[in-house]
Amino acid sequence: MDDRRTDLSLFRDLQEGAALEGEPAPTLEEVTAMAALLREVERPAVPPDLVPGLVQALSTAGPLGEPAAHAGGIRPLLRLLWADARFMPLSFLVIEGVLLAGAFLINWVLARDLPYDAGVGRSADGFILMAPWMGLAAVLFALRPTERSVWGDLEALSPFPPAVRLLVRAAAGMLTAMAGMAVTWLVSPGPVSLSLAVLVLARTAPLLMAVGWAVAWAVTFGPRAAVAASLGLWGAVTVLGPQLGSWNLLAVPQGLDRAAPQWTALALAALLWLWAVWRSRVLNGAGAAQAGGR
Amino acid sequence: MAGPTPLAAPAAPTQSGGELAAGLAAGDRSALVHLAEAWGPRIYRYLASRLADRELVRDLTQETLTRAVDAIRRGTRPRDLKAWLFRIATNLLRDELRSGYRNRVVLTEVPERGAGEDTEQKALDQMRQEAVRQAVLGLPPDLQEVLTLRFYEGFSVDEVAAITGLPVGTVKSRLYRAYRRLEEQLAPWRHQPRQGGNADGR
Repeated sequence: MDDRRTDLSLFRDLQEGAALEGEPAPTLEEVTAMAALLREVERPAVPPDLVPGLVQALSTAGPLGEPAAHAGGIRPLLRLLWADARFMPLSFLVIEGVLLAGAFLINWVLARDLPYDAGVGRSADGFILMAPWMGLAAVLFALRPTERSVWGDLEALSPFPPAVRLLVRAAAGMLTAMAGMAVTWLVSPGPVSLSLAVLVLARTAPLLMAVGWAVAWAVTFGPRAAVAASLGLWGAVTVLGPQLGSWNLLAVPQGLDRAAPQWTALALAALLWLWAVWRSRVLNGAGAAQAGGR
Repeated sequence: MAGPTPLAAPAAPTQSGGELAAGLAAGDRSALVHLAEAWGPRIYRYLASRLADRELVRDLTQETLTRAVDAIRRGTRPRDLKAWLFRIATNLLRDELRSGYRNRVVLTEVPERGAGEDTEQKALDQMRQEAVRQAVLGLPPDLQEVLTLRFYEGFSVDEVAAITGLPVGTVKSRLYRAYRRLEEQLAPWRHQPRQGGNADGR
């Protein structure tokens, strides 16, 4: 009776699968015959000492009722980043690649006549101006329902608290962007000029401030709030910036001594990062206390 | 859609997922024993149907339950414990397969037969079972994953989608493709007379 019900259920699934594939569906008799064959495969035997071994292993894995202490140091953090990288779906990488290509294209079209140092300004602009959108795409992708299960597992099973994971990922992304800029700088033709240093400052300051802004919101109010806050900030900077004159954060100052908006943005970024780190420590401590009390 | 019936019923869990999670979070040792007894064998069988190395299967079973306990102790409360445990196991399994383990996968061992049973019909049954086993294990990993969860573990298509992180339509398509592949490979055996059920009496 159970087999009959199972076969019928399987038959319906196969009918729907066949329709999706645009192929003829099997008959119930065919499915029943196939199911009977498949049932002949013996399920692997369970060793008799499996359960006692599991109980012993689980008992000695750590005292129950206490939160699992995560090891400190850089290696666990690198493992966290590696785990993230391995589970990045191809579609996500494609989206990021398209955004990056768009950055170059937009910059090439709009900024090719700007008097930046040869070639370097365009690359720096392309990367920095598109970075927030790439970051937003990453966050939105992580929130997609179809990906939530796999990412949710990673998040749930990670030995690190959510705030630490966020800070590590944000810091890694930021350092990657900075490293990319440094490479661009190093491979630029000719000696490094003061104007190039000003340009790098002009592009780095809003980047660091934008990331700090997003991280502070995420740690305090969650990822959705961070997405909304980032959209608001970057939209305002992009739309209202030209009306702010010399305080336009996206404008390149005439010299380091006239870069007050950029220095202010860097200071603000530092404060936001300090807030995020402090907040994550508070949350972590509260979480540990809560878990310890269970 | 009517829910499927698991072909090999596990030791029936007597505690709900919520009760079990609450017990584990509270440090209740009996909850831990219950987790190992109710779900250890089932997770083991699932992993062993995909991997040949029994020591590795044992390690992954232990890892699955350890991760689950750790996550529950940190505050995770799975809505569906069964699907959640299989999702953890499936992710561990995928990790193994991605790391090249598949190159070392061999077909599961042929069950030993008692002396005196090698009659012609017994030999034919054994050949057919081996052909089915090889056909299932010869499926591409993505098709084998869906077939194993849907047919052998008795999950519904929706549950398989939740476990694997795939859209429901993709699960159905893969299930259908797995069926067609098996149909091609097992065509010679589909109408062979059998002596009886398998060793489990099914």
